[in-house]
Amino acid sequence: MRFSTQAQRRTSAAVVAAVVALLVGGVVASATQKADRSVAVSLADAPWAVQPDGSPRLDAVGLRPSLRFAPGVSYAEALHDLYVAARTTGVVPPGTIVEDPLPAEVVYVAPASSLGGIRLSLTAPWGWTPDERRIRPASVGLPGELAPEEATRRFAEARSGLNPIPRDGWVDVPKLADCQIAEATPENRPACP
Amino acid sequence: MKRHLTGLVVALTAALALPAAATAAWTNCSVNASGGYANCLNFDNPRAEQVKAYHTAGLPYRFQLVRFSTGSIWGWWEYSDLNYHQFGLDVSGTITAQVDNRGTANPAAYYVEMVR
Repeated sequence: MRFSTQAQRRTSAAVVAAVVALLVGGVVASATQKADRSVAVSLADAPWAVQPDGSPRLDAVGLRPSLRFAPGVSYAEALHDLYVAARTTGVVPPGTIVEDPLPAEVVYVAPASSLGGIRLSLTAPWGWTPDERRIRPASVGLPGELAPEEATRRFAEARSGLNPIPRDGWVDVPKLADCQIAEATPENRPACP
Repeated sequence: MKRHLTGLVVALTAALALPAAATAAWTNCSVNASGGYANCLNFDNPRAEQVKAYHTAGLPYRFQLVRFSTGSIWGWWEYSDLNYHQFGLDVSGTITAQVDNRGTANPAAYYVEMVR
């Protein structure tokens, strides 16, 4: 899935917010975050971000909190915001609410209605591989029409610059197994094989 | 005679001198369908790893990284398009990028690159 123009606007807004937060110092926390939890929730060592010895197995890592996003935010948009936050401020995106961990297998809980927001696991937000239950690392994409040298250059620019999303790029959204997605409540999903 | 031997030693030394460590490596990897993971590229201490399929008949495909010395595996991701995709994983050791062609082309070609 890709959404270049909209994603670029969200990225730019997120980057501006991040820069402002850094200038005034302290931890970025939205007005609706539980203050004690927001300080403790660092993304810097998340199991999907730092994998020095391979993608860890889902059952081998401690559960991380979940994040409630604002109504109307899709799974793709939530991943985008999370990725930008992880690469800029290192803490949860502004406008999210930190909540209790979800069951390990649940990647996100879709809201019951349009009035609710998606609840995203910080344990394995990009899901986990069904065969060996390994937590996927984040992945970003660029259009295939680019010459390889240009793609490499844009990826490198994103890794080293203020904007972690490459120009005309996006955060990849995985196709999750049905059992990794819950509807309305964490329990409402098919059992994983 | 001594000058000739000295010149020969210098030439051999130059020929055996290791090149400066490459900061990137890439390949076009040909992978048979339904054959499981193929080893496409080895690289030391990458900071980013990317892949792209060239043809739709090579879709979908899975991409993962392996460090054989420790048995470590990163991924997999399954992609179903012809776009570039990159992990930004900073990992140590000799890393092998692998592709599993789950399409119909036998073989299918994939662009694989790792950078430091």
